[in-house]
Amino acid sequence: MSETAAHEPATPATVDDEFIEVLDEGQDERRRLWLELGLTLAAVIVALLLWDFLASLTSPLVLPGPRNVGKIIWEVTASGSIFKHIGTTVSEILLGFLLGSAIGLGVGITLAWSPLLRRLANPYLVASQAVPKLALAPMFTLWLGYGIASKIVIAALIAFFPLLENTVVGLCAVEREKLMLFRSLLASEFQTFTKLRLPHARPYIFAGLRMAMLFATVGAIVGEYVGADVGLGALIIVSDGTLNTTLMFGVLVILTVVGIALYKLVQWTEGLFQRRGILARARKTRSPR
Amino acid sequence: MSTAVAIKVAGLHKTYRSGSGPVRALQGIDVDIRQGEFVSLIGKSGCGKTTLLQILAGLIRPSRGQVLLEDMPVAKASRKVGLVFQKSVLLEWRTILDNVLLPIELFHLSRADYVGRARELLDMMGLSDFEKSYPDELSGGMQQRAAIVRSLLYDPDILLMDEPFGALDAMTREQMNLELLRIWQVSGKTVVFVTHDIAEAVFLSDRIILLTERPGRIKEVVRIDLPRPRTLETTYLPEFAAYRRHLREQLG
Repeated sequence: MSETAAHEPATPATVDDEFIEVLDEGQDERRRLWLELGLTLAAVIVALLLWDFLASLTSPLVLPGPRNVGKIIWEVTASGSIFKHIGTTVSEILLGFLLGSAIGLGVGITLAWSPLLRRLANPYLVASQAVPKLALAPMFTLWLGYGIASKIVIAALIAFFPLLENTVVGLCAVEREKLMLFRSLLASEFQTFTKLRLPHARPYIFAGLRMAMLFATVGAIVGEYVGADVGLGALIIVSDGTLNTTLMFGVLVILTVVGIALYKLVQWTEGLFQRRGILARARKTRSPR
Repeated sequence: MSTAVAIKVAGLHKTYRSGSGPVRALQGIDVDIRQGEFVSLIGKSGCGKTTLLQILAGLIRPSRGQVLLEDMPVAKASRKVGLVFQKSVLLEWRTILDNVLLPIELFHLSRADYVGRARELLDMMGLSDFEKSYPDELSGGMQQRAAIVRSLLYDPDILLMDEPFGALDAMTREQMNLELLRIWQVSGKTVVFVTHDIAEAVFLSDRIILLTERPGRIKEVVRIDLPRPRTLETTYLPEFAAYRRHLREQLG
Protein backbone atom coordinates (compact mmCIF):
# COMPACT_ATOMS: atom_id res chain seq x y z
CA MET A 1 0.00 0.00 0.00
CA SER A 2 2.99 2.29 0.14
CA GLU A 3 2.60 3.20 -3.49
CA THR A 4 -0.95 4.30 -2.74
CA ALA A 5 0.28 6.76 -0.21
CA ALA A 6 2.52 8.22 -2.87
CA HIS A 7 -0.49 8.90 -5.07
CA GLU A 8 -2.29 10.74 -2.31
CA PRO A 9 -1.86 14.48 -2.05
CA ALA A 10 0.20 15.02 1.07
CA THR A 11 -1.88 16.12 4.02
CA PRO A 12 -0.50 17.64 7.19
CA ALA A 13 -1.77 14.52 8.97
CA THR A 14 0.81 12.36 7.24
CA VAL A 15 3.39 13.77 9.63
CA ASP A 16 3.91 12.27 13.05
CA ASP A 17 1.29 13.21 15.63
CA GLU A 18 3.82 14.62 18.06
CA PHE A 19 5.27 16.75 15.33
CA ILE A 20 1.92 18.36 14.63
CA GLU A 21 1.55 19.11 18.30
CA VAL A 22 4.89 20.89 18.28
CA LEU A 23 4.02 22.88 15.17
CA ASP A 24 0.58 23.91 16.36
CA GLU A 25 1.17 24.66 20.01
CA GLY A 26 4.81 25.57 19.70
CA GLN A 27 6.74 28.68 18.91
CA ASP A 28 4.46 30.21 16.26
CA GLU A 29 1.50 29.94 18.56
CA ARG A 30 3.38 31.40 21.50
CA ARG A 31 4.68 34.33 19.46
CA ARG A 32 1.17 35.06 18.24
CA LEU A 33 -0.18 34.99 21.80
CA TRP A 34 2.47 37.43 23.04
CA LEU A 35 1.73 39.75 20.15
CA GLU A 36 -1.98 39.67 20.90
CA LEU A 37 -1.34 40.29 24.58
CA GLY A 38 0.91 43.24 23.79
CA LEU A 39 -1.62 44.81 21.45
CA THR A 40 -4.43 44.32 23.96
CA LEU A 41 -2.39 45.98 26.72
CA ALA A 42 -1.46 48.87 24.44
CA ALA A 43 -5.12 49.42 23.56
CA VAL A 44 -6.08 49.44 27.25
CA ILE A 45 -3.37 51.98 28.07
CA VAL A 46 -4.41 54.27 25.22
CA ALA A 47 -8.05 54.05 26.30
CA LEU A 48 -7.15 54.86 29.91
CA LEU A 49 -5.04 57.87 28.89
CA LEU A 50 -7.85 59.17 26.70
CA TRP A 51 -10.35 58.65 29.52
CA ASP A 52 -8.04 60.48 31.96
CA PHE A 53 -7.68 63.38 29.56
CA LEU A 54 -11.43 63.70 28.94
CA ALA A 55 -12.14 63.47 32.68
CA SER A 56 -9.75 66.33 33.38
CA LEU A 57 -11.89 68.56 31.14
CA THR A 58 -15.14 67.97 33.06
CA SER A 59 -16.51 67.66 36.57
CA PRO A 60 -16.02 64.31 38.35
CA LEU A 61 -19.80 64.28 38.78
CA VAL A 62 -20.15 63.86 35.02
CA LEU A 63 -17.08 61.82 34.19
CA PRO A 64 -14.84 60.60 37.02
CA GLY A 65 -11.25 59.90 35.99
CA PRO A 66 -9.75 56.40 35.89
CA ARG A 67 -7.57 57.05 38.92
CA ASN A 68 -10.57 57.93 41.10
CA VAL A 69 -12.52 54.97 39.79
CA GLY A 70 -9.56 52.70 40.50
CA LYS A 71 -9.32 54.12 43.99
CA ILE A 72 -12.97 53.45 44.78
CA ILE A 73 -12.74 49.90 43.42
CA TRP A 74 -9.79 49.36 45.74
CA GLU A 75 -11.74 50.82 48.70
CA VAL A 76 -14.85 48.70 48.26
CA THR A 77 -12.72 45.61 47.69
CA ALA A 78 -10.46 46.25 50.68
CA SER A 79 -13.44 46.91 52.98
CA GLY A 80 -15.14 43.82 51.58
CA SER A 81 -18.42 45.69 51.19
CA ILE A 82 -18.62 44.89 47.47
CA PHE A 83 -18.57 41.12 47.83
CA LYS A 84 -22.14 40.63 49.01
CA HIS A 85 -23.28 42.61 45.96
CA ILE A 86 -21.10 40.59 43.60
CA GLY A 87 -22.25 37.37 45.28
CA THR A 88 -25.92 38.25 44.93
CA THR A 89 -25.67 39.33 41.32
CA VAL A 90 -23.54 36.35 40.28
CA SER A 91 -26.01 33.99 41.98
CA GLU A 92 -28.88 35.62 40.11
CA ILE A 93 -27.04 35.38 36.81
CA LEU A 94 -25.94 31.78 37.29
CA LEU A 95 -29.30 30.53 38.54
CA GLY A 96 -31.08 32.46 35.79
CA PHE A 97 -28.66 31.02 33.27
CA LEU A 98 -29.18 27.48 34.55
CA LEU A 99 -32.97 27.81 34.60
CA GLY A 100 -33.04 29.46 31.17
CA SER A 101 -30.65 26.89 29.71
CA ALA A 102 -32.65 23.99 31.08
CA ILE A 103 -35.80 25.44 29.51
CA GLY A 104 -34.04 26.29 26.25
CA LEU A 105 -32.43 22.87 25.90
CA GLY A 106 -35.50 20.95 27.02
CA VAL A 107 -37.95 22.79 24.82
CA GLY A 108 -35.42 22.84 21.96
CA ILE A 109 -34.98 19.07 22.05
CA THR A 110 -38.74 18.53 22.28
CA LEU A 111 -39.41 20.80 19.32
CA ALA A 112 -36.62 19.26 17.27
CA TRP A 113 -38.23 15.88 17.88
CA SER A 114 -41.63 16.81 16.52
CA PRO A 115 -42.24 18.98 13.45
CA LEU A 116 -45.92 19.20 14.46
CA LEU A 117 -45.10 20.65 17.87
CA ARG A 118 -42.66 22.99 16.17
CA ARG A 119 -45.38 24.40 13.95
CA LEU A 120 -47.86 24.66 16.83
CA ALA A 121 -45.42 26.32 19.21
CA ASN A 122 -43.84 28.69 16.73
CA PRO A 123 -46.35 31.59 16.97
CA TYR A 124 -46.15 31.55 20.77
CA LEU A 125 -42.39 31.50 20.72
CA VAL A 126 -42.25 34.40 18.31
CA ALA A 127 -44.80 36.30 20.41
CA SER A 128 -42.78 35.62 23.56
CA GLN A 129 -39.79 37.19 21.86
CA ALA A 130 -41.71 40.08 20.31
CA VAL A 131 -42.82 41.24 23.77
CA PRO A 132 -40.12 43.52 25.15
CA LYS A 133 -39.30 41.21 28.04
CA LEU A 134 -37.39 43.79 30.02
CA ALA A 135 -40.61 45.80 30.14
CA LEU A 136 -42.09 42.86 32.05
CA ALA A 137 -39.50 43.20 34.80
CA PRO A 138 -41.73 45.32 37.09
CA MET A 139 -44.43 42.67 36.83
CA PHE A 140 -42.12 39.91 38.02
CA THR A 141 -40.92 42.12 40.85
CA LEU A 142 -44.56 42.64 41.79
CA TRP A 143 -45.27 38.90 41.73
CA LEU A 144 -42.06 37.53 43.20
CA GLY A 145 -40.92 40.38 45.42
CA TYR A 146 -37.67 42.28 45.80
CA GLY A 147 -35.60 39.20 46.49
CA ILE A 148 -33.45 37.09 44.25
CA ALA A 149 -36.34 35.08 42.71
CA SER A 150 -37.70 37.83 40.46
CA LYS A 151 -34.20 38.47 39.05
CA ILE A 152 -33.63 34.79 38.34
CA VAL A 153 -36.90 34.56 36.44
CA ILE A 154 -36.19 37.68 34.38
CA ALA A 155 -32.67 36.45 33.59
CA ALA A 156 -33.99 33.01 32.63
CA LEU A 157 -36.75 34.47 30.51
CA ILE A 158 -34.41 36.34 28.21
CA ALA A 159 -31.65 33.72 28.33
CA PHE A 160 -33.63 30.72 27.10
CA PHE A 161 -34.58 31.82 23.61
CA PRO A 162 -31.23 31.98 21.79
CA LEU A 163 -30.36 28.57 23.20
CA LEU A 164 -33.72 27.13 22.20
CA GLU A 165 -33.38 28.36 18.65
CA ASN A 166 -29.78 27.12 18.32
CA THR A 167 -30.70 23.74 19.77
CA VAL A 168 -33.51 23.25 17.26
CA VAL A 169 -31.32 24.32 14.33
CA GLY A 170 -28.38 22.19 15.45
CA LEU A 171 -30.49 19.08 15.92
CA CYS A 172 -32.43 19.48 12.68
CA ALA A 173 -29.68 20.65 10.31
CA VAL A 174 -28.02 17.22 10.04
CA GLU A 175 -27.08 16.35 6.46
CA ARG A 176 -29.44 14.06 4.60
CA GLU A 177 -26.68 11.58 3.75
CA LYS A 178 -25.81 11.09 7.39
CA LEU A 179 -29.42 10.40 8.28
CA MET A 180 -29.55 7.96 5.38
CA LEU A 181 -26.38 6.24 6.61
CA PHE A 182 -27.94 5.81 10.04
CA ARG A 183 -31.11 4.47 8.49
CA SER A 184 -29.14 2.01 6.36
CA LEU A 185 -27.42 0.84 9.55
CA LEU A 186 -30.79 0.22 11.23
CA ALA A 187 -30.20 2.90 13.87
CA SER A 188 -33.04 3.48 16.33
CA GLU A 189 -34.47 6.97 16.89
CA PHE A 190 -32.58 7.09 20.17
CA GLN A 191 -29.28 6.08 18.56
CA THR A 192 -29.77 8.64 15.81
CA PHE A 193 -30.34 11.25 18.49
CA THR A 194 -27.41 10.43 20.77
CA LYS A 195 -24.86 9.43 18.13
CA LEU A 196 -25.74 11.81 15.32
CA ARG A 197 -28.04 14.72 16.13
CA LEU A 198 -26.65 15.64 19.53
CA PRO A 199 -22.94 15.64 18.59
CA HIS A 200 -23.84 17.55 15.45
CA ALA A 201 -25.72 20.15 17.51
CA ARG A 202 -22.98 20.57 20.11
CA PRO A 203 -21.30 23.67 18.60
CA TYR A 204 -24.72 25.25 18.04
CA ILE A 205 -25.74 24.53 21.62
CA PHE A 206 -22.57 26.06 23.02
CA ALA A 207 -23.02 29.18 20.90
CA GLY A 208 -26.52 29.38 22.41
CA LEU A 209 -25.13 28.90 25.91
CA ARG A 210 -22.67 31.76 25.46
CA MET A 211 -25.51 34.04 24.37
CA ALA A 212 -27.65 32.79 27.26
CA MET A 213 -24.94 33.78 29.75
CA LEU A 214 -24.70 37.30 28.34
CA PHE A 215 -28.47 37.66 28.28
CA ALA A 216 -28.80 36.37 31.83
CA THR A 217 -26.37 39.07 32.96
CA VAL A 218 -28.51 41.76 31.37
CA GLY A 219 -31.66 40.24 32.86
CA ALA A 220 -30.28 40.12 36.40
CA ILE A 221 -29.08 43.73 36.30
CA VAL A 222 -32.34 45.05 34.89
CA GLY A 223 -34.22 43.09 37.55
CA GLU A 224 -32.12 44.81 40.18
CA TYR A 225 -32.77 48.22 38.62
CA VAL A 226 -36.49 47.70 39.09
CA GLY A 227 -36.19 46.91 42.75
CA ALA A 228 -33.51 45.36 44.95
CA ASP A 229 -31.55 46.05 48.10
CA VAL A 230 -28.39 44.17 47.20
CA GLY A 231 -26.59 43.44 43.97
CA LEU A 232 -24.40 45.37 41.57
CA GLY A 233 -27.46 46.74 39.71
CA ALA A 234 -28.94 47.94 42.98
CA LEU A 235 -25.62 49.57 43.81
CA ILE A 236 -25.66 51.45 40.49
CA ILE A 237 -29.15 52.79 41.28
CA VAL A 238 -28.04 53.86 44.78
CA SER A 239 -24.91 55.60 43.52
CA ASP A 240 -27.04 57.35 40.89
CA GLY A 241 -29.42 58.58 43.60
CA THR A 242 -26.56 59.90 45.73
CA LEU A 243 -24.77 61.46 42.76
CA ASN A 244 -21.79 59.18 43.44
CA THR A 245 -20.77 58.89 39.81
CA THR A 246 -17.36 57.53 40.74
CA LEU A 247 -18.90 54.56 42.55
CA MET A 248 -21.23 53.98 39.60
CA PHE A 249 -18.26 53.75 37.26
CA GLY A 250 -16.47 51.47 39.68
CA VAL A 251 -19.44 49.10 39.78
CA LEU A 252 -19.67 49.16 35.99
CA VAL A 253 -16.03 48.09 35.75
CA ILE A 254 -16.60 45.28 38.25
CA LEU A 255 -19.73 44.21 36.38
CA THR A 256 -17.80 44.05 33.13
CA VAL A 257 -15.13 41.86 34.72
CA VAL A 258 -17.84 39.58 36.17
CA GLY A 259 -19.54 39.37 32.77
CA ILE A 260 -16.31 38.45 30.99
CA ALA A 261 -15.49 35.84 33.64
CA LEU A 262 -18.88 34.18 33.26
CA TYR A 263 -18.63 34.17 29.48
CA LYS A 264 -15.17 32.62 29.70
CA LEU A 265 -16.58 29.99 32.05
CA VAL A 266 -18.93 28.82 29.29
CA GLN A 267 -16.10 28.89 26.76
CA TRP A 268 -13.90 26.86 29.04
CA THR A 269 -16.65 24.28 29.53
CA GLU A 270 -17.02 24.02 25.78
CA GLY A 271 -13.29 23.36 25.51
CA LEU A 272 -13.74 20.32 27.74
CA PHE A 273 -16.16 18.84 25.25
CA GLN A 274 -14.13 19.54 22.15
CA ARG A 275 -12.73 16.55 20.34
CA ARG A 276 -9.18 17.22 21.46
CA GLY A 277 -10.38 18.41 24.85
CA ILE A 278 -9.77 16.75 28.17
CA LEU A 279 -12.99 14.74 28.11
CA ALA A 280 -12.33 13.38 24.63
CA ARG A 281 -8.81 12.42 25.64
CA ALA A 282 -10.03 10.68 28.76
CA ARG A 283 -12.55 8.78 26.67
CA LYS A 284 -9.90 7.74 24.20
CA THR A 285 -7.45 6.40 26.77
CA ARG A 286 -10.23 4.29 28.22
CA SER A 287 -11.06 2.66 24.89
CA PRO A 288 -9.42 -0.71 24.25
CA ARG A 289 -6.03 -0.58 22.63
CA MET B 1 -18.75 -18.03 -9.44
CA SER B 2 -21.88 -19.40 -7.85
CA THR B 3 -25.12 -19.46 -9.80
CA ALA B 4 -27.32 -18.69 -6.78
CA VAL B 5 -29.27 -15.48 -7.10
CA ALA B 6 -28.28 -12.82 -4.55
CA ILE B 7 -30.63 -10.08 -5.69
CA LYS B 8 -33.84 -10.61 -7.60
CA VAL B 9 -35.74 -7.61 -8.88
CA ALA B 10 -39.16 -8.30 -10.42
CA GLY B 11 -41.59 -5.88 -12.05
CA LEU B 12 -40.25 -2.90 -10.15
CA HIS B 13 -41.91 0.49 -10.58
CA LYS B 14 -41.29 3.67 -8.67
CA THR B 15 -43.32 6.84 -8.97
CA TYR B 16 -42.56 9.89 -6.86
CA ARG B 17 -45.09 12.47 -5.89
CA SER B 18 -43.82 15.95 -6.56
CA GLY B 19 -45.17 19.49 -6.67
CA SER B 20 -45.69 19.31 -10.42
CA GLY B 21 -47.45 15.93 -10.38
CA PRO B 22 -46.19 12.36 -10.22
CA VAL B 23 -42.68 11.64 -11.52
CA ARG B 24 -42.05 8.18 -12.88
CA ALA B 25 -38.53 7.27 -11.81
CA LEU B 26 -38.40 3.57 -12.63
CA GLN B 27 -40.57 1.48 -14.88
CA GLY B 28 -40.68 -2.30 -15.10
CA ILE B 29 -37.23 -3.25 -13.86
CA ASP B 30 -36.53 -7.00 -13.94
CA VAL B 31 -33.07 -8.28 -13.17
CA ASP B 32 -31.34 -11.15 -11.38
CA ILE B 33 -27.89 -10.62 -9.88
CA ARG B 34 -25.91 -13.72 -9.02
CA GLN B 35 -23.96 -14.21 -5.83
CA GLY B 36 -20.47 -12.84 -6.19
CA GLU B 37 -21.31 -10.94 -9.34
CA PHE B 38 -20.11 -7.39 -10.01
CA VAL B 39 -22.86 -5.45 -11.72
CA SER B 40 -22.84 -1.77 -12.65
CA LEU B 41 -25.86 0.43 -13.16
CA ILE B 42 -25.16 3.11 -15.71
CA GLY B 43 -27.23 5.88 -17.19
CA LYS B 44 -27.53 9.62 -17.46
CA SER B 45 -28.12 11.63 -14.30
CA GLY B 46 -31.75 11.51 -13.30
CA CYS B 47 -32.34 8.08 -14.84
CA GLY B 48 -33.21 6.58 -11.48
CA LYS B 49 -30.07 4.55 -10.86
CA THR B 50 -29.64 5.94 -7.37
CA THR B 51 -33.35 5.35 -6.70
CA LEU B 52 -32.93 1.72 -7.76
CA LEU B 53 -29.94 1.32 -5.48
CA GLN B 54 -31.81 2.83 -2.55
CA ILE B 55 -34.71 0.47 -3.16
CA LEU B 56 -32.25 -2.44 -3.08
CA ALA B 57 -30.88 -1.04 0.18
CA GLY B 58 -34.38 -0.93 1.65
CA LEU B 59 -34.25 2.82 2.14
CA ILE B 60 -37.08 3.56 -0.31
CA ARG B 61 -40.17 1.46 -0.96
CA PRO B 62 -41.02 0.64 -4.56
CA SER B 63 -44.46 1.65 -5.86
CA ARG B 64 -44.91 -1.75 -7.41
CA GLY B 65 -42.87 -4.92 -7.80
CA GLN B 66 -40.59 -6.84 -5.54
CA VAL B 67 -36.97 -7.08 -4.49
CA LEU B 68 -35.61 -10.28 -2.96
CA LEU B 69 -32.24 -10.31 -1.23
CA GLU B 70 -31.16 -13.94 -0.89
CA ASP B 71 -34.79 -15.00 -1.32
CA MET B 72 -36.03 -12.64 1.41
CA PRO B 73 -38.27 -9.71 0.46
CA VAL B 74 -36.69 -6.34 1.27
CA ALA B 75 -38.82 -4.40 3.74
CA LYS B 76 -36.19 -2.21 5.39
CA ALA B 77 -32.44 -1.86 5.61
CA SER B 78 -30.51 -5.01 6.38
CA ARG B 79 -27.22 -6.07 7.89
CA LYS B 80 -26.65 -8.17 4.81
CA VAL B 81 -26.11 -4.97 2.86
CA GLY B 82 -23.23 -2.53 3.03
CA LEU B 83 -23.89 0.88 1.53
CA VAL B 84 -21.24 3.27 0.20
CA PHE B 85 -22.27 6.77 -0.83
CA GLN B 86 -20.74 9.26 -3.21
CA LYS B 87 -19.63 11.28 -0.20
CA SER B 88 -17.74 9.40 2.48
CA VAL B 89 -20.31 10.51 5.10
CA LEU B 90 -17.89 10.19 8.00
CA LEU B 91 -18.82 11.78 11.30
CA GLU B 92 -16.36 14.62 11.75
CA TRP B 93 -16.35 14.40 15.55
CA ARG B 94 -15.19 10.77 15.52
CA THR B 95 -11.74 9.41 14.79
CA ILE B 96 -11.34 7.17 11.76
CA LEU B 97 -11.34 4.06 13.95
CA ASP B 98 -14.49 5.19 15.75
CA ASN B 99 -16.13 6.03 12.43
CA VAL B 100 -15.34 2.62 11.05
CA LEU B 101 -16.77 0.98 14.18
CA LEU B 102 -20.04 2.95 13.98
CA PRO B 103 -22.07 0.07 12.48
CA ILE B 104 -20.88 -2.22 15.28
CA GLU B 105 -22.13 0.26 17.86
CA LEU B 106 -25.45 0.72 16.11
CA PHE B 107 -25.91 -3.05 15.84
CA HIS B 108 -25.23 -3.39 19.60
CA LEU B 109 -22.30 -5.70 18.88
CA SER B 110 -19.22 -5.84 21.06
CA ARG B 111 -16.67 -3.25 20.00
CA ALA B 112 -13.82 -5.34 21.36
CA ASP B 113 -14.75 -8.19 18.99
CA TYR B 114 -14.35 -5.98 15.96
CA VAL B 115 -11.44 -3.66 16.77
CA GLY B 116 -8.95 -6.21 15.50
CA ARG B 117 -10.80 -6.73 12.22
CA ALA B 118 -11.20 -2.95 11.85
CA ARG B 119 -7.44 -2.46 12.20
CA GLU B 120 -6.83 -5.25 9.70
CA LEU B 121 -9.10 -3.62 7.12
CA LEU B 122 -7.67 -0.16 7.76
CA ASP B 123 -4.23 -1.63 7.27
CA MET B 124 -5.30 -3.27 4.02
CA MET B 125 -6.56 0.12 2.82
CA GLY B 126 -3.33 1.86 3.84
CA LEU B 127 -4.99 3.74 6.69
CA SER B 128 -3.32 2.10 9.67
CA ASP B 129 -1.47 5.29 10.59
CA PHE B 130 -4.68 7.28 10.57
CA GLU B 131 -6.96 5.42 12.94
CA LYS B 132 -6.67 8.21 15.50
CA SER B 133 -7.00 10.98 12.92
CA TYR B 134 -10.20 12.87 12.28
CA PRO B 135 -11.87 12.80 8.86
CA ASP B 136 -10.89 16.37 7.96
CA GLU B 137 -7.23 15.42 8.32
CA LEU B 138 -7.53 12.89 5.47
CA SER B 139 -7.62 13.40 1.71
CA GLY B 140 -10.80 12.65 -0.22
CA GLY B 141 -9.53 9.27 -1.37
CA MET B 142 -8.55 8.24 2.14
CA GLN B 143 -11.92 9.32 3.49
CA GLN B 144 -13.67 7.20 0.90
CA ARG B 145 -11.45 4.24 1.79
CA ALA B 146 -12.45 4.65 5.44
CA ALA B 147 -16.10 4.63 4.31
CA ILE B 148 -15.50 1.39 2.43
CA VAL B 149 -13.86 -0.14 5.51
CA ARG B 150 -16.92 0.93 7.50
CA SER B 151 -19.21 -0.88 5.06
CA LEU B 152 -17.04 -4.02 5.00
CA LEU B 153 -16.47 -4.36 8.74
CA TYR B 154 -19.70 -6.20 9.57
CA ASP B 155 -19.14 -8.45 6.55
CA PRO B 156 -22.30 -7.89 4.51
CA ASP B 157 -22.90 -10.26 1.59
CA ILE B 158 -23.93 -7.45 -0.71
CA LEU B 159 -22.16 -4.16 -1.31
CA LEU B 160 -24.21 -1.35 -2.83
CA MET B 161 -22.09 1.54 -4.06
CA ASP B 162 -23.55 4.83 -5.28
CA GLU B 163 -20.89 6.56 -7.39
CA PRO B 164 -18.39 6.00 -4.60
CA PHE B 165 -15.45 7.43 -6.52
CA GLY B 166 -17.34 10.15 -8.37
CA ALA B 167 -15.79 12.94 -6.33
CA LEU B 168 -12.19 11.74 -6.62
CA ASP B 169 -9.51 12.84 -9.05
CA ALA B 170 -8.66 10.52 -11.94
CA MET B 171 -5.46 9.09 -10.45
CA THR B 172 -6.99 8.30 -7.07
CA ARG B 173 -10.02 6.89 -8.78
CA GLU B 174 -7.95 4.45 -10.83
CA GLN B 175 -6.21 3.32 -7.66
CA MET B 176 -9.53 2.87 -5.86
CA ASN B 177 -10.92 0.82 -8.73
CA LEU B 178 -8.00 -1.58 -8.51
CA GLU B 179 -8.34 -1.86 -4.74
CA LEU B 180 -12.07 -2.45 -4.99
CA LEU B 181 -11.54 -5.27 -7.49
CA ARG B 182 -8.97 -6.84 -5.22
CA ILE B 183 -11.29 -6.74 -2.21
CA TRP B 184 -14.18 -8.04 -4.29
CA GLN B 185 -12.13 -10.93 -5.60
CA VAL B 186 -10.91 -11.93 -2.14
CA SER B 187 -14.27 -11.56 -0.39
CA GLY B 188 -16.60 -12.97 -3.05
CA LYS B 189 -19.20 -10.30 -2.25
CA THR B 190 -21.95 -9.31 -4.62
CA VAL B 191 -21.43 -5.72 -5.74
CA VAL B 192 -23.94 -3.36 -7.34
CA PHE B 193 -22.09 -0.27 -8.46
CA VAL B 194 -23.76 2.91 -9.69
CA THR B 195 -21.69 5.14 -11.94
CA HIS B 196 -22.02 7.46 -14.90
CA ASP B 197 -18.46 6.75 -15.99
CA ILE B 198 -18.47 4.24 -18.86
CA ALA B 199 -14.78 3.29 -18.61
CA GLU B 200 -15.10 2.67 -14.88
CA ALA B 201 -18.13 0.44 -15.41
CA VAL B 202 -16.39 -1.59 -18.15
CA PHE B 203 -13.24 -1.95 -16.10
CA LEU B 204 -15.02 -3.23 -12.98
CA SER B 205 -18.07 -5.17 -14.07
CA ASP B 206 -19.19 -8.63 -15.05
CA ARG B 207 -22.36 -7.07 -16.40
CA ILE B 208 -23.47 -3.54 -17.06
CA ILE B 209 -27.13 -2.58 -16.85
CA LEU B 210 -27.92 0.41 -19.00
CA LEU B 211 -30.88 2.51 -17.90
CA THR B 212 -32.86 4.83 -20.17
CA GLU B 213 -33.67 8.38 -19.24
CA ARG B 214 -36.71 9.01 -17.06
CA PRO B 215 -38.62 6.86 -16.55
CA GLY B 216 -35.69 4.50 -16.03
CA ARG B 217 -36.07 1.24 -17.91
CA ILE B 218 -33.47 -1.37 -18.69
CA LYS B 219 -32.27 -0.51 -22.16
CA GLU B 220 -29.63 -3.15 -22.45
CA VAL B 221 -27.61 -5.53 -20.33
CA VAL B 222 -24.02 -5.82 -21.53
CA ARG B 223 -21.87 -8.75 -20.45
CA ILE B 224 -18.22 -7.72 -20.13
CA ASP B 225 -16.04 -10.69 -21.14
CA LEU B 226 -12.68 -9.22 -20.25
CA PRO B 227 -10.18 -11.49 -18.49
CA ARG B 228 -9.74 -11.30 -14.73
CA PRO B 229 -7.89 -10.24 -12.71
CA ARG B 230 -8.07 -6.93 -14.49
CA THR B 231 -5.17 -4.53 -14.41
CA LEU B 232 -4.43 -1.19 -15.99
CA GLU B 233 -3.29 -3.22 -19.04
CA THR B 234 -6.89 -4.33 -19.47
CA THR B 235 -7.86 -0.79 -20.37
CA TYR B 236 -5.58 -0.89 -23.44
CA LEU B 237 -7.23 -4.00 -24.93
CA PRO B 238 -9.14 -3.42 -28.16
CA GLU B 239 -12.18 -5.18 -26.61
CA PHE B 240 -12.15 -2.63 -23.81
CA ALA B 241 -12.35 0.18 -26.33
CA ALA B 242 -15.10 -1.67 -28.22
CA TYR B 243 -17.23 -2.02 -25.08
CA ARG B 244 -16.74 1.64 -24.31
CA ARG B 245 -17.72 2.65 -27.80
CA HIS B 246 -20.81 0.44 -27.77
CA LEU B 247 -22.00 1.76 -24.40
CA ARG B 248 -21.28 5.34 -25.39
CA GLU B 249 -23.44 4.93 -28.48
CA GLN B 250 -26.23 3.27 -26.52
CA LEU B 251 -26.24 6.05 -23.91
CA GLY B 252 -26.76 8.55 -26.71
